[in-house]
Amino acid sequence: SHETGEKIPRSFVIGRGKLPVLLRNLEQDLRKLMLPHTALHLKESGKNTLKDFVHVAGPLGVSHFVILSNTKNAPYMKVARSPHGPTMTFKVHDFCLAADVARALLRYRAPPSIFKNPPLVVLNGFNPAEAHLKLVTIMFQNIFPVIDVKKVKLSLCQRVLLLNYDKDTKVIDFRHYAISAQPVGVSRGIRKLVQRTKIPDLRTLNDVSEFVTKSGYGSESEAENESSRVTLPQDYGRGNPASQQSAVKLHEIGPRMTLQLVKVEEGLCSGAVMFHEYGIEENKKKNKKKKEEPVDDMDVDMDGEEQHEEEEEDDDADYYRQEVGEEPGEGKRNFTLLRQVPCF
Amino acid sequence: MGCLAIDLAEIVCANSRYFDELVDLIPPKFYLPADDNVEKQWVFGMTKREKREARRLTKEHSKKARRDRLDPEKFVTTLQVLQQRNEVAEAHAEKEEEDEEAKAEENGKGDAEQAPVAGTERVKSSQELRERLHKRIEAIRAERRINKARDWQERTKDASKKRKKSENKTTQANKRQKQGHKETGIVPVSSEKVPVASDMEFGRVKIDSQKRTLNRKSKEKLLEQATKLQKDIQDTEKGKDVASKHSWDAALSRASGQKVFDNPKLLKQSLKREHQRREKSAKKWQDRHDSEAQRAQEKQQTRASHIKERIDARKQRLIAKVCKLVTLIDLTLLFTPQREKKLMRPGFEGRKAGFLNEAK
Repeated sequence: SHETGEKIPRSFVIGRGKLPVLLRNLEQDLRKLMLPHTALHLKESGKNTLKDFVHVAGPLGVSHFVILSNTKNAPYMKVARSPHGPTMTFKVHDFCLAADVARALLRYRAPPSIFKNPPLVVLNGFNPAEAHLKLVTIMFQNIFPVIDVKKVKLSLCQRVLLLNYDKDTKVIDFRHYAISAQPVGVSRGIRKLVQRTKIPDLRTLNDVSEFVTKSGYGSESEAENESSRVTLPQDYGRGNPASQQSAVKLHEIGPRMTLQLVKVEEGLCSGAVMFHEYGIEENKKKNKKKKEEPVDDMDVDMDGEEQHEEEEEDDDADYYRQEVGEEPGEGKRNFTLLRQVPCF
Repeated sequence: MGCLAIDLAEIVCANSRYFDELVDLIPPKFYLPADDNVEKQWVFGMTKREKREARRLTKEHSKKARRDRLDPEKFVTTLQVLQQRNEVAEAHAEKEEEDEEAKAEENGKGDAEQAPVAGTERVKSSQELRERLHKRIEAIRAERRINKARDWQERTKDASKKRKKSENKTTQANKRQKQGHKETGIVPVSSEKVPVASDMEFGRVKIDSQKRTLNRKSKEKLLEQATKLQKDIQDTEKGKDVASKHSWDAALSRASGQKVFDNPKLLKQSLKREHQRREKSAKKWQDRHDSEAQRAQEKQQTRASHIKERIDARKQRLIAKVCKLVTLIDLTLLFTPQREKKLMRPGFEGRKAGFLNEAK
């Protein structure tokens, strides 16, 4: 960027394998989140492998990859740095699309102008003493461009991405909000007059004084919440001049996710596993037999129930033999280890 | 003839009766002003439903009025209508007066003011209200007024202008600086410290522009380091620790955007590529250099040959000219007797007549 003189990080959000419609929508929502420094209309075909994307990313200056994939257990999201960077794999426990959020809220506001600037990012609860958490913070901090404190315009910071880590459940909450500011200390009528372009309707009033002194001081929520009040250093939109008190309000826009960090690998979806949620030794075999292929839907229903990755005492091949009755590798599809989370 | 007994009252009565009869001749529609009971409704403020309702009412009213007009039992003359209206107006005026007095009393209690007459009372109370409004507005303004706050309209105009201009114009911060304000960007103006939980982290922020460290090692050195690292990792005892530590460090620095060169194979490739590039460019330079020298030499040669040619050509031209001249000149003119005499005078050293002892 010309302001900071540093390279702007760009990203690709892609899906691997056949994704169901909901995940495709989630992919689109994630692309909107990463705007403006991402390819919004990136077209991927089934024949594209990860290597193709990596080769294209170099000349285009793309530094990050966000990869969504689907398995029987859960969808997975990988955040990686191209071309040799570390890869973090998150398991998506739950997610919620932007369209769902829009339907749930009474007043959903996501005007396209807020997507013209990158979002701010706030991380909470990531203890820097733990290496994998530190890596997560650094990764997310660097996915978005650097902010030059002296030169940045406050009115361009209109979105924020919140990540909250819960120590007990080890789950990361992923939220996306739009920021707006409202002047405090004025009655509702005047605040609306100042903030909106609409001319108020005075037809039912007998005198202008009634408009000024009408319905009190805003909604109930304005009275409390002193912590959301700030003195603005710069103008922020209409009606919030600098060096005035304003209340900062957040409106949820984008997708919501609950993630759990499962794996950290050295390379781009390759290389040694540096951290695994369920223990490296147990999952060493899985890691060895990874392949770089797109994943298809598993239409062969082997397990009735969901298996957890922790219960991996036996040899996977034995397990396969028990369950299926065939040798691994001889079935119609060459899935040698069924309980393996298909990675690449 | 006797004098007429002028009875003023009689004359007035007679006149009055005459006028009354005249008035009665005129139907009330033309003589009397429109009935104000039907309020003049402001049609523009009404909704569709209200308009429909009003239209219906007027229709009904007009129908009813027509029936009444033609009903012989309900016949009223103009004068009677006039009387009725006056009575109604009086009753209304009385009622209003009573109401006003009550209101004036109330106002009087609140402001400790007296309420003398109905007419002037009203004016005073509205004036009072206006004063109170002004005071309140001033109070609100005083709260919000801070020195050097610009006019709201100016600000919106400026904002719209700025939006239209390109992004490379000076930012607000720079403008304020120019105006002499102490603006420091996002750093808050007042010294209020926002309490931040110790666990919170934010996006990357650049506060001071530092010069990039120019400690880039050469690729050979990096290769050495990388191979050394690989050897250390192969080492059985400490190898794992070294490997894990290095991988975490590398991952963290790669995640923050710094390049880590730890793969000796890639480094060798890159070295080779660089070497090839250098060779290629050296070769290109050499070729260029040689060709330049050659070209210079050729140019010199051609130049020399051209010069030589020119000299030769000039000589040839001269000879040709002389020959031509010689053919033109009549040599007998050269040997005229006077000339001979001049040339053969004794002591003249220009021409030789021959040696003295030469046989003539």
